[in-house]
Amino acid sequence: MTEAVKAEEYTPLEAAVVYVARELKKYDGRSVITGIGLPVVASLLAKRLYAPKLKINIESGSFDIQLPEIPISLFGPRISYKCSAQLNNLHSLAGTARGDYDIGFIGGAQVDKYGNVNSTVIGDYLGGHKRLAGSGGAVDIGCFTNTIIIMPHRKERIVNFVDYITTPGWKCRKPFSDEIVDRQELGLPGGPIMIVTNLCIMRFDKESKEAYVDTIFPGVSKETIISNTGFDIDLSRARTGEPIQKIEIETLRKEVDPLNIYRLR
Amino acid sequence: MSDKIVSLEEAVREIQNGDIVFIGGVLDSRVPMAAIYEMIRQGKKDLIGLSILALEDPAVGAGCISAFIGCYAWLGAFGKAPCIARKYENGELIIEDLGHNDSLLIYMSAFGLSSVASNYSIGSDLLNLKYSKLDKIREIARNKEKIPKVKYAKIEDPFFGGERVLLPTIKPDVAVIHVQQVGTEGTCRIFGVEGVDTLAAFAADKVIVTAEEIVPEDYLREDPNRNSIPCTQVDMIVEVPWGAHPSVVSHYYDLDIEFIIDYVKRASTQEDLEEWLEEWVFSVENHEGYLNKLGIERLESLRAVKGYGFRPRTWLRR
Repeated sequence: MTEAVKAEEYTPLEAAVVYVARELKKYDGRSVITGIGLPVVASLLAKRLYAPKLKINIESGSFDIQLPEIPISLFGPRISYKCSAQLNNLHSLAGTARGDYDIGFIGGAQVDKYGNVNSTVIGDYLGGHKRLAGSGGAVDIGCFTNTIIIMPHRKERIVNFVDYITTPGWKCRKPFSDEIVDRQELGLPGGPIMIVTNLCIMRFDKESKEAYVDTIFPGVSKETIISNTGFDIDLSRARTGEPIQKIEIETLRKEVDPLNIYRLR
Repeated sequence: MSDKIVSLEEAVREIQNGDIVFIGGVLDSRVPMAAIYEMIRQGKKDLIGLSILALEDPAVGAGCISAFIGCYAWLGAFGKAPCIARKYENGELIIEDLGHNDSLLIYMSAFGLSSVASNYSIGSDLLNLKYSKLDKIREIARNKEKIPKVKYAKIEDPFFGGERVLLPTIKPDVAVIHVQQVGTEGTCRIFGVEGVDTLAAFAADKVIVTAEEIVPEDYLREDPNRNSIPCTQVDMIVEVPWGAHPSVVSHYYDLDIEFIIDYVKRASTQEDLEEWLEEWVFSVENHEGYLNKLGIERLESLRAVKGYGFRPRTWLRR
């Protein structure tokens, strides 16, 4: 049942969720550590269509969760419902250092071309700034795990270099200094593999470690991406994504999130 | 009956200004809200919060909590915490940023440890000491020696080689934890997400437990593996049904989403917050008054359905 849906029949956020779900296909039977919002919706969609044996885990100490409904609280009973074991937060989040998770999700207020993510302050920490949520589990996941970064595509959010490195990407902070070094130099495993926005998917060049556009969502122009990106973005490798299928949108709307909890549509 | 059982007012009197306070539950789950409202009524000052600061927001707005050492100060899916944002901007809330694991590993004081080696923040600005605010937090702490001299230290690893990061532990003066069931001697049973309440109960000097219900000790001791905190760690017990509203309490009641959305709207300025506090904290006088104001219809609409532990959104809807 392959039937493409026109771009005007779904929202950019729904497209982002579908492309992430497709990416999770290669993680079938493996473990993801996720948070609330888009990642949990994408993980559930993947489980329905592409990765039925995906193990979803949350930093709440909840292993292989079942998600009977889309959760609003990351630490509530919809998370612990029929999970394999409900232990403490450290049990699950310290699993990043054990290498227990094959893929993780990171969100925040800014991401830069090296995949560093800022969710702490916008502006100068020691001067004028606006406070954000803080790391939560982002740094703990991003230090050790391959990650998918989810970010709205706006100039002030996809930037040349973040104001504060909450979660390290490919070129990050040497401990106890202001120096920027390669991730490998710090001996960190994992690292960001893609940035998913409402316009496109970016991946990272193996040599330069800089983000480039890999997949443009159907109906989105290159100019829109350029004008909404805070650095000179490489579009030379960009191709248009496979059209969104009817079954993907229907499964998302009717089965995964029928009440539209996260306002994807 | 155990002499640990006291009133909410008596229990909260044990908290002193400038205390380092562990507030149990996580973010919007099993947060001891009745105790937090009582802290506001008693006019606590300069408390230092730990790990995650979220639904404690009105206590920040009321000036009870003026420092925070932890990983997250936000309302999750509900967005920016209005009082945390405002007080921080005015310089009335000091924040020391940590990652999630490190904000929990600080309770390794439970095992008598003064520090632990942690590699959970390498590559992040969290390890950039120029951003540390511990000196400022120490100024307001009642027990100044409990605030570490530095945020992190770098050491050579004598065992396996290379460099390691040492994280100092913290010993809370008091832990306030809301649980579903507590025995008459203090044994606690937690349903659903635990956070790190067990660890923190072992780390804190004093432990206050508020509970949905006090049950016979024997009832909990029939299945001791299901219990989370032993009676030996618990100093005071208070029975406070619906004592975590508007947060969610697994197997008891669901998140009061409308209440939180309304709070966020109304707490956006200090004047409006004061009006909200007058309505929901001061004028109701105590927890019973708060529940009466919420009304039985509202509370029943939140009650968890057995077999789920929450209230499915389409439950009994026609």
